[in-house]
Amino acid sequence: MDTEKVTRNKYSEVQRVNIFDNEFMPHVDTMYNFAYRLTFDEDDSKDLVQDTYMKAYRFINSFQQGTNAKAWLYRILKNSFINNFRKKSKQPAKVDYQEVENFYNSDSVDTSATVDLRVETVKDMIGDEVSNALNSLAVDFRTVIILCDLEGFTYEEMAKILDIPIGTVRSRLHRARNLLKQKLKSYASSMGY
Amino acid sequence: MESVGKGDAKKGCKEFEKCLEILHLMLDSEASKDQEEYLNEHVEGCMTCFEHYEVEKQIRILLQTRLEHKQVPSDLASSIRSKVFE
Repeated sequence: MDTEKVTRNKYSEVQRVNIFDNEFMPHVDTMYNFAYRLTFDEDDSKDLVQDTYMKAYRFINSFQQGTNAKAWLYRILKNSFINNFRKKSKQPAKVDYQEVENFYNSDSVDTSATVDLRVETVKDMIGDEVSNALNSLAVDFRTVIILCDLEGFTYEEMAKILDIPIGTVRSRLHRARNLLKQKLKSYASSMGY
Repeated sequence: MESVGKGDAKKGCKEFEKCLEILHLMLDSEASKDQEEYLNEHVEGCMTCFEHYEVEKQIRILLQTRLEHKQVPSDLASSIRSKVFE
């Protein structure tokens, strides 16, 4: 986004190791889980996280000590994911842009906000139903829900991680939630709730 | 597009779209003080929005509590360090 404007630091060897171990490494667990929710594959997740940390170290001089390391790492991971998967599959198979575009351009999405789901039904849902519903969303939608609801990032942080305006974060989240609710609703219906 | 329940949930609230938007902002801790005051007051007299608020809150709880947490491979941290500092 504004990488050109980022102040470059000159950290010493000791400082670099210090930042890496104290500010980056504590996030390995959550980074791995994020990677897994994007790739659905343990080996890919490991590669993705390793790749992210190697890049983070290589570009450590553009990191401001004491700022949001987690958001920065997420941004690197998300970009690595997009690049790696495009290279790997030669086509964005896991990133269904057509699906995404259709939803973005569809007016009917907003009316689906009225999907009628009852609190009791939601309370009764089990992990499999939730993860199936989440995993069935296009990656862009899945990502905003993970960042917001699971990781608790603010809209502003999400905008930086995803490199999109805050308004887009909001509308994408809105649509993602509607879609998720629809999926949950159809699970509920199929279970006879 | 699926149109299950389309329109049904809107019954009883004339400003449903606006409420829904604020409701999400509130649950994401992104609402302004005015928006929060508005919705808190509104749900006391609007069952539709009250129910929606509860459902949305429950979905977030569901996501936070029911999704499987993947155990990180025990060697990942050390392999990252050795790759970076080798």
